[in-house]
Amino acid sequence: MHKYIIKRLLMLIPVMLGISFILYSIMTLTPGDPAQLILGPGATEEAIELKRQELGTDKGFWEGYVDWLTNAVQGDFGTSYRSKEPVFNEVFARFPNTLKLASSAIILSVIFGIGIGIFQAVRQYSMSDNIISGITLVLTSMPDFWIGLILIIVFAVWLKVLPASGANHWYNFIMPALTASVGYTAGTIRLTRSSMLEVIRSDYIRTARAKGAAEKTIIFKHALKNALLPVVTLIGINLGWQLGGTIIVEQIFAIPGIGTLMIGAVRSKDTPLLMASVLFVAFLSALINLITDILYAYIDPRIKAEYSK
Amino acid sequence: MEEKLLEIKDLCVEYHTDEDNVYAVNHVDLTINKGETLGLVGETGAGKTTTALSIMKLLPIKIGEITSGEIKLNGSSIISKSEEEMRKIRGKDISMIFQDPMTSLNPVYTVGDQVAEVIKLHYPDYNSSQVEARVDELFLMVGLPPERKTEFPHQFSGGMKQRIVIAMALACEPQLLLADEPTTALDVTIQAQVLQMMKDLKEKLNTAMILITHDLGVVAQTCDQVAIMYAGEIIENGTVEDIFEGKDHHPYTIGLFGSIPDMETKSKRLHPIDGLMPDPSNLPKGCKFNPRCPHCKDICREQEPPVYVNGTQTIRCHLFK
Ligand SMILES: Nc1ncnc2c1ncn2[C@@H]1O[C@H](COP(=O)(O)OP(=O)(O)O)[C@@H](O)[C@H]1O
Ligand code: SF4
Ligand SMILES: [Mg+2]
Repeated sequence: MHKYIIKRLLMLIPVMLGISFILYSIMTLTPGDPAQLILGPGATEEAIELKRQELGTDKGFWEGYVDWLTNAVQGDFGTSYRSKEPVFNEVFARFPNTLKLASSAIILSVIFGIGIGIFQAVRQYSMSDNIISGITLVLTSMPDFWIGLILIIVFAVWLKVLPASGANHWYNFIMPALTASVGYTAGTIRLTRSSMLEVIRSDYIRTARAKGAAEKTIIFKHALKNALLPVVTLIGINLGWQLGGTIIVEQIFAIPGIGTLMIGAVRSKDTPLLMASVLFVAFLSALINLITDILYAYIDPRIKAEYSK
Repeated sequence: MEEKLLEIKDLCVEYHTDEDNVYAVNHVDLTINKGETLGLVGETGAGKTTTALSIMKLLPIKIGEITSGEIKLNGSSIISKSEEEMRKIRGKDISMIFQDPMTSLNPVYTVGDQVAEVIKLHYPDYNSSQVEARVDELFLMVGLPPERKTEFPHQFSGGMKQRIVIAMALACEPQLLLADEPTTALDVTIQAQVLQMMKDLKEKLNTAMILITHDLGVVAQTCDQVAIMYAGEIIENGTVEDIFEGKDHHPYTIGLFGSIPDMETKSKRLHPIDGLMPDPSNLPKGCKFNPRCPHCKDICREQEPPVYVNGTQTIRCHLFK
């Protein structure tokens, strides 16, 4: 298992290198000069040239990338073209907001997704099962921005109980978290339900019944642990996504998070800032992925045996 | 000695599916005495598993339904028992072993925990060391080293898994063991070992058994009584001598045996008979075997055959009066 973890972490190195190179290429090879963008349309040719030297964008493509890489390996990811701050200061200033939003959205989706999924599976084809299936289907097909807008209209405009924007208080996150969680919850409900139904039909559940186990034990002990395997993977993927910052939700509710930071960096061609934020998010996603796999092995001894080989 | 343990009278079971009703078990009568072994033989789809699940009251919820009949264990009705009462009986008084040991253990719990569970359920007073001691004892009983109880199902072979399932089924020394093709999924060499072990254990514990099997050799070796099932009905029933040595037989039985082998001929497999078993959602009128029967007469297509009783043997066929 340790070997497996180390192997996975080592595999991150080429992935990170690849991402950084692709980002660098896109940022430098696409039209648009950051020096020009900062100084505005009225700037003289000399001023722009000076700015380029200051930013370091006057170097050739390869020289620029190798410079960036040499510094990055030593822990220096550069400063933002705009704010002149070290890039990670900005990333870390924004990240707590994204983390709060992501974790609350995912926690909501886990609680409701798994809870409702089990409820439905136990009452398959009942009235409540059908109604919930209908609602989940509608929710999955509703776009985030639409749900966000409806919530704002109802709770901020009509009822005036929640603020429409900002990130200073915990209650600022209620609507954004709800908005972001709807899709994840619906997905988790559907997967939990189908996975649970499949497990309930399996032979070992019949064995448990034949032993005289109570229905509660059968559902929560024998079936759930097996049924959760695919759900754990889904939750990991969702969390990875959400930590990447959902641009739409952050925009609607004006939350200064990683998503809006990245959008801003693309717009202003702030290459060091974009690379730092994307690499950070990619690293987190990979880490969550790894944790999911470890959790998976913890639940399923067959997978653990696989990893130990 | 001849004390009745289980009595099934006129049992009918239907499965309600989206398309139609499946008449899986039709008017089945069976009696098993204490400590005895009954062989339940028949082609796939004859209703053997359904009969066993009915005794456990474990038919699939909402789909399977006992539409009529009575099942009595030690004279008291199982049909009228509540789910809660049934839970006390399952695993304790009646245990069941399923066909496929590869899938009948929960992959995410250790085999020891799974055996311990049934002990804890039915002996709530046992403390944990008593439970563990009993688990060890059961592992030894089925020929597995108790140290392996901390391992997971995927670490065992099919034959070993079936031993674990048997340990689980016998943990509370049930009065009745329902063994649904317990060795069909195993290697031929392992089959004999596992069967011999089951036979020894049931004798030691004085457990009665319904052994569902395809293998007439196994029936000859293990069973006291034999019931042959076709399209949900018991078409012939008797002692193992009646079936293997008697002179009157149902045409289906004769088909099964090809020519009836004597009891020394071991492991004679079921003989294929021309034609297919009727679809249990659309059973023929009269005798259900009539489309395949070489002796079919007009009356067979019109009237259900009466049960012909000859001492300990019963045959459901118009040929006998
Ligand atoms: N859950 C179910 N739903 C519908 N039909 C079923 C179900 N289980 C069994 N049957 C049908 O009932 C009949 C008897 O099945 P079964 O008792 O499993 O036979 P056997 O064990 O003798 O092979 C078969 O025709 C089978 O298709
Ligand atoms: S009743 Fe008729 S059709 Fe049925 S088995 Fe007997 S002879 Fe054959
Ligand atoms: Mg069967």
